[in-house]
Amino acid sequence: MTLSISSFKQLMVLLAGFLCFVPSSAATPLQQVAILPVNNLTTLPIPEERLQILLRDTLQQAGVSVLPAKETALFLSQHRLRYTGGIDRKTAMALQSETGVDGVLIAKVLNYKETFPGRIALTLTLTTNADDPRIRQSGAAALTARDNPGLFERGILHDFKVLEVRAVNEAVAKLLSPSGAPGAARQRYAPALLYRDPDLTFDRPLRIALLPFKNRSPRPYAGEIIAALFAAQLAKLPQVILLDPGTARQTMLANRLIMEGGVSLDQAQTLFGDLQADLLLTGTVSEYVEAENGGVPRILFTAQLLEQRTRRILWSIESRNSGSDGVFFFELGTVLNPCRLAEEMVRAGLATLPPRKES
Amino acid sequence: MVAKPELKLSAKLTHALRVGLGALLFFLAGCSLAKEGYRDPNMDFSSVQTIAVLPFANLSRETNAGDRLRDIFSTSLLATGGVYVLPSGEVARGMARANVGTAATPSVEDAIKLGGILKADALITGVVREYGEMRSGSTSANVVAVSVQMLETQSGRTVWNATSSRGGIGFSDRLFGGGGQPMNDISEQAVNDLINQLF
Repeated sequence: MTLSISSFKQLMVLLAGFLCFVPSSAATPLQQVAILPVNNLTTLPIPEERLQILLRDTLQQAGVSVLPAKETALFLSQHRLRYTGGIDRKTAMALQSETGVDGVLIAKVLNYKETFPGRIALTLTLTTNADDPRIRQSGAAALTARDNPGLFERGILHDFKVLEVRAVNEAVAKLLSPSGAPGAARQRYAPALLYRDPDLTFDRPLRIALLPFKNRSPRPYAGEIIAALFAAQLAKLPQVILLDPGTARQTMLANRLIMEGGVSLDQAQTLFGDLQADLLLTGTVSEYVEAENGGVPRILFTAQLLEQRTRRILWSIESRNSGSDGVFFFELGTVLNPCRLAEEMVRAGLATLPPRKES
Repeated sequence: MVAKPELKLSAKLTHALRVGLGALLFFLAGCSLAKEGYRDPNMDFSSVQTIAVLPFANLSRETNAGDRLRDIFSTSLLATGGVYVLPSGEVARGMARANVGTAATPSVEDAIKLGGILKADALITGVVREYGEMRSGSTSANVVAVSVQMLETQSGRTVWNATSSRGGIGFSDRLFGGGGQPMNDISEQAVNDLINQLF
């Protein structure tokens, strides 16, 4: 029996994926989850259906029961649901009562480049508690074909499908990880500017509503990408209860809130009241340059937390980095995927939040 | 007893040294980066606790230069911990309510009205004069030039203004090339320069 190198690689990836996805006994088991259609935040069309199938298969291999795609599609068409980047309370309640699912998985593809060198990034968030939708678990992956070139560039991935499977496996593994803790923040990605008010304390887990990030960069969806990465990282913090971004979106639509120059205090008050949130997170993406033609990505964003009680900004950062920061020899450690860079920056930014106070 | 040899410079050498020192001082004065701004001697700056940073006027070719520098300025000012900076959305709401036409040059009445609506002790307006790449021959480098002023909201008077320009083509850029410093770095240097003049 002969086995081609490509098949062997795929088999190894599947095996590695299978070994990672042993369901955790510590996490509260979910009966069934619905996967909403993949949210495309790239600038080009992507094979959404293929990714959807890959995601469903990977979750099922990991022991998660998934609502059949036909039933999900039927629900979406019956409720005329077109926005799949988040879920509001009304929709989550309807989904739970009509299909019996107790969780909704939202997948966002942040970048996707099939031509060599391939690049892919995605985030997965699992929203539960239909009567008060909040993100319970999250996972993200951002890979490129040249991440680990190895000796004589033998580690470069020429087959994009392998990279795609690897990325989905990694994101699902992080989503189902029992510890769920965010990785360690690296100093080189620490915010350039930081303001943290001493009044910002986490005596109890605080409810955070994530608002859209304003995009001033030429890259379409850069605001959504940074917001998605904030969601993925915030959901892992023990001092935070992260409300699904769909709830904030619904409140803004219902109250006709247009935040052209940012959130005003009146608008914030409406959001605090409707969402029962303690903090609002918002920001601006000023620069989002993807690595093209052998360059490195460059990102600049600001983020602020507005508090409900004092109606003041209690935390503000400005983060700016490039993929070559902290790289000195032979391009070792260069970050080629802009989403990976953004993820590191977001993680380092959130590491500046005070930890939860033990009573 | 041995007498110490007396060091005597010739008159010509002394004269040359004086001329050289004078020329050096003259050139150093010309190279000075810090520009002295205006600071009202009667103003108690410690009483300013809440500041609204209005949108910066943009005279450069870069479309978002005003917004970018305003963002950096607001975050840097907040990061000092000395004053509280209102969220930009709240400032936008206040400007719409006060019907302020030009954010860079509000009238005295506008400044007082806006201060009342926003409950701010002072307003900061700014103008981005240069933002982007400058060229000289075959050499190019990034440059930022920005000026800001603070208006006190009780009387609408200008109590402080400052100017900073950073970047540009230096001696080493001409000699070795390299394109100067990144835009974000010099923007932050310019903003730090302005804030240092305030505190």
